[in-house]
Amino acid sequence: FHKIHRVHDKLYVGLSGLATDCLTLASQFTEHCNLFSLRENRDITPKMFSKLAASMLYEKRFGPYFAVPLIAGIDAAGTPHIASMDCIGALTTTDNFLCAGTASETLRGACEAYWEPDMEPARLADVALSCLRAGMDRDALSGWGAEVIIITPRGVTAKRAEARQD
Amino acid sequence: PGIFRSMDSVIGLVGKDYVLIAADRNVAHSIVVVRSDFDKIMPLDATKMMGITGEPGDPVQFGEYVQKNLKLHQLTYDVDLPCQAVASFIRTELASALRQRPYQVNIVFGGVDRPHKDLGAAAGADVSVASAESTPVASPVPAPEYVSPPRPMLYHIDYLGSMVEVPFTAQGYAGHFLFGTLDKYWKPGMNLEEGKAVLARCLHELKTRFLLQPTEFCCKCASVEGISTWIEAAQ
Repeated sequence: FHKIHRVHDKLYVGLSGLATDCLTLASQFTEHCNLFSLRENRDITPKMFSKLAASMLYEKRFGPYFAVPLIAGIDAAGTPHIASMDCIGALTTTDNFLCAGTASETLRGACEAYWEPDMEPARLADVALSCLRAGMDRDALSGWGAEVIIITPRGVTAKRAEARQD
Repeated sequence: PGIFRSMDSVIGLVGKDYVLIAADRNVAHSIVVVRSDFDKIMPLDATKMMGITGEPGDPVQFGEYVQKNLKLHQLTYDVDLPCQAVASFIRTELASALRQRPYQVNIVFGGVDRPHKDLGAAAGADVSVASAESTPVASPVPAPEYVSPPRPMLYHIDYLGSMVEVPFTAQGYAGHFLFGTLDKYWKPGMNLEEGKAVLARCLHELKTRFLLQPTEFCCKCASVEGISTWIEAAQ
């Protein structure tokens, strides 16, 4: 089950939470961003997209989507951005790492330990997979494997890892 | 809304170029079996079907809604929708109804895609008749040519609108018993005899271990030729 959805070549969003709301949000994000690129003849930037996602979620403030998006992308200048929010759109942007999902607390600890600034893409992928494995192994509701998407100015690669099948 | 645990079992599995769906034939109201020859698998068009169960009333209501909307789409646009599109349609209807008037239905949707160059599959039958009668001049609408082998697809869609494409699935209490069995015995690319053998194992498992086991299952196989139906008794 893929939880990372492509918005455009340099922008991906991971969605965790209630599966039906994740699928609904994924198609709504794609719809809005496709319309944006048709109107403005350029791809939406990560910063703009995070604000869009936050306001879409806040629109449902009193009947929310039970999904938490985690947005990652590279803008036109080549700067990477990540952003996350809660299920009603309280936006956080950082320059190091963000975690979402049932194992988010465990992941945060693992990321804090392994993350360093200015890592190469290959190293970043390995670090991300190690953090995911560490977080997932201790969480009953997560597991069955991990997937990492690495977005670079040159292109996008995906990596999969096996994990405990329980 | 609470999860309505209906006593219905629906099993689906994908084979080489077909999809098998089996559903039990009982309609129960509390401890009484009201009817034991009910067909829970609705055909959506010539090569697609869905096993639909849930709170009494909703399966028929939602099932017919989907069936008729698909027929309308086919009549309006003269195109055979691929399975993925139909599954998305079903999911979107369930998800958008979720926060107003949720349907309590769980669906196992299966079908076979026939990817072909000209998507005028609905007109395919008419074209072959016309070209038989006409003089040897190229008919204006070419007959559909199949560019790739038929692709069977199976989707599990639950009452919230969560959808996932699966190689096999079981719905209801049957899932508790059968995911293990299917994990072990299902393999990709099975022909029809092998698929029926796996299905027979599943029914045997239910008969042996499930307290409320149904005696008979209505089984349907969707392939490019169409949907064939038969009744299978659990051994």
